[in-house]
Amino acid sequence: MYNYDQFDADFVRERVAQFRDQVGRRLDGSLTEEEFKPLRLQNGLYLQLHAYMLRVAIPYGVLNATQFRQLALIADRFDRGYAHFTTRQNLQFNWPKLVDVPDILDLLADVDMHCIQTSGNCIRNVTADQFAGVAGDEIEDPRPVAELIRQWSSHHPEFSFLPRKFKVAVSGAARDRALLKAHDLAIRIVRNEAGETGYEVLVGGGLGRTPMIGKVVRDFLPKGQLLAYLEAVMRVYNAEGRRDNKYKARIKILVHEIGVEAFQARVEAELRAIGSTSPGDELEELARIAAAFDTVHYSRLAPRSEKFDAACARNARFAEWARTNLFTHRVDGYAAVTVSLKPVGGVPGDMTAAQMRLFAELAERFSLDEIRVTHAQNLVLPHVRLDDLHALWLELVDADLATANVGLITDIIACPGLDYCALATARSIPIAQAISTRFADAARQAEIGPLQIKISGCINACGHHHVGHIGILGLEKRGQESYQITLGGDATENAAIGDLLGPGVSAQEVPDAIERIVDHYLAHRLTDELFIDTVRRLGVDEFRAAFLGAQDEAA
Amino acid sequence: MSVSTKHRLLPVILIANDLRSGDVVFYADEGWTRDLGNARVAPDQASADVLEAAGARSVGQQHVVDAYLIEVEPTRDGPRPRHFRERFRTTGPTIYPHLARRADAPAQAAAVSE
Ligand code: SF4
Repeated sequence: MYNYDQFDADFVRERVAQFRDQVGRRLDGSLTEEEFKPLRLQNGLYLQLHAYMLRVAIPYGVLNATQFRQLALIADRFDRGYAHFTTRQNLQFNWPKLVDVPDILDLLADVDMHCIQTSGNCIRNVTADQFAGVAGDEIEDPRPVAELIRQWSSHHPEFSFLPRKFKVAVSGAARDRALLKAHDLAIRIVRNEAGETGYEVLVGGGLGRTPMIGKVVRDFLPKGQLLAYLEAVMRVYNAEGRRDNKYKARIKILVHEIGVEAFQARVEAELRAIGSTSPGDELEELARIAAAFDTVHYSRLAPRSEKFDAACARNARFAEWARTNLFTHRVDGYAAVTVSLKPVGGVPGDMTAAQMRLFAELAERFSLDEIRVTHAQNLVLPHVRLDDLHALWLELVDADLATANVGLITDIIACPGLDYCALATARSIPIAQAISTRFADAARQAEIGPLQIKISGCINACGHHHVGHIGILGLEKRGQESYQITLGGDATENAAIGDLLGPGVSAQEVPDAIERIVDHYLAHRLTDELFIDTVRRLGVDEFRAAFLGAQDEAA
Repeated sequence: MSVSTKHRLLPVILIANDLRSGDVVFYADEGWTRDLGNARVAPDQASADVLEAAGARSVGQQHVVDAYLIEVEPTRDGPRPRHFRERFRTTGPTIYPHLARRADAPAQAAAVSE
């Protein structure tokens, strides 16, 4: 955990006081809705289909038990007893009343939390690999860099009114678990041939109406020069990003229109204009931030646990869960546990206040007081002793949190869609529920293996459908909800945008359509070949033929 | 999110969010209600204009936000929005039955009357 200093705490508290005053002025009519809207959005407060929605920032997805408990308390006291984890590692309350929001913000500030940078055309809350500091394939923990960027970008006066929102992700690992290539800007900590660590910078990724894969604009930026470089990128974007058309305003369009080389040249020119900066200052600041993170005190443990092995041998359900939901920890004797928020037939990313309270306790008891949120709408207990896994699992079973499906076909990302979102063109959650119910059988899920389905309720693509192995996009067609299905997307370091399979299908037809695609895979895969690899080998056209052919027969 | 006045089919009702609570409300004879069954139905252009004017007034008085007309069809149980988006707005999320809006839900303190 990063610990706030007095400056951080005062800053957040001051913002709450300002917003309390703004709400008061809205209610007494001193502010019109037009005047108030940008102010409430700067504090993460949206107006959705049925109610206000408050989006709470969880910087790089890291929380402790005290914070988690506070979120549960807010869910109980000011919402309807549950909360929703989003695809950008944030949390949303779906039912806050405007009059209560200042009190909610105060409760958040009590535990060093806020809703800043969760809306508006600013640099948004920075996301990161959920296994930061844990993964064996990591060169360096990316969280200090994420925090450095957060502090630099929070209310940066020059970058608070950008042409459009700006999303940043950071990772220090070889494998991409943070969807780096779908971000406006992404940073990967890398090592050069001389063995020095530095940053690879990608720009211009994004989903939405015009999906694009981020491009490398600097393959090795030495440490100490990151903020100057980011400043140069932001200045080029701020000056040249389009403000005439909001659909063309993201940095990806600028990079696409002028080309990577021209973009790089402008950034370099801007860097020269900024002049020489002292890398030492940034390194010092980074060191200060790194020191403000709690040190995790691991015990010296054996790499294997007899207790764990025996529990696996004894209990097939536990073994099954351990197979799907555990991630190898870089420290011997520990595992990172992904806790699925995707029970069969459930709402992806939702958690009740009671579950949250229990979870906070489990984080304290079993995970050195740390919790992570994943962009796939699951949670992680990052530091669990192998010896404790069975005891933890028993608790999770009792709380209905032991679904063994991480990375499998029922571990579906779904945005709120037309069940909550004012921008939606169709529902997404019930589609996820129908698919997970159809594929509920654990043996069948295991047979199918890793397969990511991602669902969005409109072209804005918050459900990341473009990069789903199977992507589903809800639209309106002739007064009905209609779903377009894409195939071959990839959210990893091999990022790819899926191809459309054919005309949209109705909500009722979606599970059958998915089943046809899966059956085609099962019938044609080579031994041990993953779904995405079969799609790549056979090509989307072959799946399209199967998809459309069967659709014709059904008609 | 307002519906174009040009191509609107009649009848219509006026829908909005309560400013203080955010709740979905409908314009009724006695002011705003959470009960769709009590919504005032405008069968012709003149009464639709009256509704629209009432909405604008109410927005100006800090009672509601985002007031706009939606097309409905009359049914035995009252007006039913023609578009599925507005139908979901009137029923609440379709995924949690216990959170669905009930027509008999008591008006809360935040409900406003004109
Ligand atoms: S993809 Fe569309 S429907 Fe889904 S949350 Fe984003 S804006 Fe709303």
